[in-house]
Amino acid sequence: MPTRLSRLERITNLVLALLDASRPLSLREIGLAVAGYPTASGALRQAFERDKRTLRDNGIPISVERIDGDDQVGYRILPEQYYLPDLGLTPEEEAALAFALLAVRLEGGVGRDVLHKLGDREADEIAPVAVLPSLPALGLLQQAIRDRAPVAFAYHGRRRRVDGYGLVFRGGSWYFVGRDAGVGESGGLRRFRVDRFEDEPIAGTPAGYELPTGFDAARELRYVPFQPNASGPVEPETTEVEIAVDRRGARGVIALVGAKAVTARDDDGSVRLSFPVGDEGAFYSWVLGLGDAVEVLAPAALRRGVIDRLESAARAGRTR
Amino acid sequence: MTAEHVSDSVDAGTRLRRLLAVLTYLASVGECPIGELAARFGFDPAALVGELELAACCGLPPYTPDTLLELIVDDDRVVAYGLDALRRPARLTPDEGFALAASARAMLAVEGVETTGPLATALEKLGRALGLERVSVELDVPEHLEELRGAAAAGEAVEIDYLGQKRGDETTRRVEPYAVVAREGTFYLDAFCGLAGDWRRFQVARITRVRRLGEPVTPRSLPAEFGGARAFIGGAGARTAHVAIDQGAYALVDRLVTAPPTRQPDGRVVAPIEVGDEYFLGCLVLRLGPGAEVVDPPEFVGAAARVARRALSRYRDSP
Repeated sequence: MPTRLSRLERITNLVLALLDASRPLSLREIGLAVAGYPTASGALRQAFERDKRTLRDNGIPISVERIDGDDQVGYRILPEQYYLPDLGLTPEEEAALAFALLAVRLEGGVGRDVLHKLGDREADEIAPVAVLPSLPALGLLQQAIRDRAPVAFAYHGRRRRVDGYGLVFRGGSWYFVGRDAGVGESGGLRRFRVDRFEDEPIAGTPAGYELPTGFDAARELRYVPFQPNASGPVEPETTEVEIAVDRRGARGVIALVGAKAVTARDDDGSVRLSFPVGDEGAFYSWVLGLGDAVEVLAPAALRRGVIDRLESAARAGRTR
Repeated sequence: MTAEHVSDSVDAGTRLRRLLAVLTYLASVGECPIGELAARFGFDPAALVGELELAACCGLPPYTPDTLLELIVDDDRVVAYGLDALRRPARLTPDEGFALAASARAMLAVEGVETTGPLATALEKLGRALGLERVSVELDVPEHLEELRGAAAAGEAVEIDYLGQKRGDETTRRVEPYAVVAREGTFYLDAFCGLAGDWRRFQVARITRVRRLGEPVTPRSLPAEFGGARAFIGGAGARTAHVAIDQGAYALVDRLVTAPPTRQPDGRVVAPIEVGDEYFLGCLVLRLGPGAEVVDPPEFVGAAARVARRALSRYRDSP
């Protein structure tokens, strides 16, 4: 090879050659045939491994197969693994997906190229409907769930190994929901905020676990800090509370504790609610954070507890 | 592998993906003006010509003219032959699959679950073929979202009733809507507000009434800070408050902090938080518990105490 080829040229040649191969090619064959590879065997292996990784990271898996002869291992790109399968989308469905991709922005422009793969359409800019945060780990996590590959990562200062069940966007954050192998004897259901991962997650071997049928990750996340956790091992003690919320807070409170808790609605938009509380500390924190939009009506002990805390906070302000 | 190698490899992969997308398109259309192709794939035209010239040297062994990709780049057009292997698009990358699932789920959340609509049926097909289930997006869709989106799209002024954070703080305003966008999971209306005489970002869930006025909006350009990804726009009154909190409570504020927190000798951390009004800050500090206090600026130091007194008056009114 008289001139040194660019890396892009080399991997483009590699894709074309491996996609065209009717049988797996040994590394030696690749080095001899595909333009751009170094001839020394160590350098060849290093360059090929690097290219293989780049292709895999970009959605092009190289199939590794056993072959006869000295080399033992061969490589090719299987057409069924390379080409996007026919999705059978109608023109209306293609248009609806294209609109969604344009209207919902992922930060950093992630995934804009999908439009070209889904169909030949003009990508006119339209006003965004929603902007979602995008994190580098999300693509890998989604793929790991699809492939049932356990994911390893650091979180809250501990190494985790989690069988992923779902990804949920809620309250402005992405959550990874799954079974954490390090909890209890058989693992425990946990949720992890993806922006709090402390390192890059690594996916393990596919088909490493079963996805529970009928599992709804979004429902699993719909938990209220002060409400008893139904999936916990022990039935916790609870206190039934009654609160009044004015129209400023009504919507948010109903969204949190559920419309079933509403016992009365007033014309001025205020509501009364009744629901169980399992963690009084978390309940006080939540109520105090709602300022004067909320009033605890019953039981008397919790009402007293809120008043005591407010009085203490009001006094703290006077002395400073 | 050195850091330089990593960035080199990321770059080559991205370039490959984009090049394959261009070639797949060319395989289906045969020829295309360079300008049109560059616009369609977001290339600078000169850079696109460079990539096409590079691709024209690629092909199958033994790289004789008949086995190379045939791309003839003329001044302003490209003509392609022999791209049969690339006629169909490549599979989605993990990022692309995720983006597709997230966008479609978010759109379904906005439009309401409509199981027979084209978006829902498309998602079902994608789920089966590509395994894109198990991604869900929850957006709290407020009551007046559709009306406001309609008015913004039509460029029509509206009158709104808006609930402030404090009790009894409700205003009627004529606003000129510009955009209605969900940011960090909450819908906001960006509009020029007649009452404030300036741009404002309103939480759509706090808008209790909308009346379309049938009047066109005055063309104005949106200030730069409204274009960013962050939801919070403090406006002229925004200040940075420093709040000392127990380490354990930090998770409650980490989405609000504007800079890395510092540690105090007593073990607490001091978090800088951008706030638009004192009431919000007071509520936040009360929520954080007795271990939290505002340390700066001085006028905000008593914010929690003032909110506590307002709340107490509510309890005194109804013993």
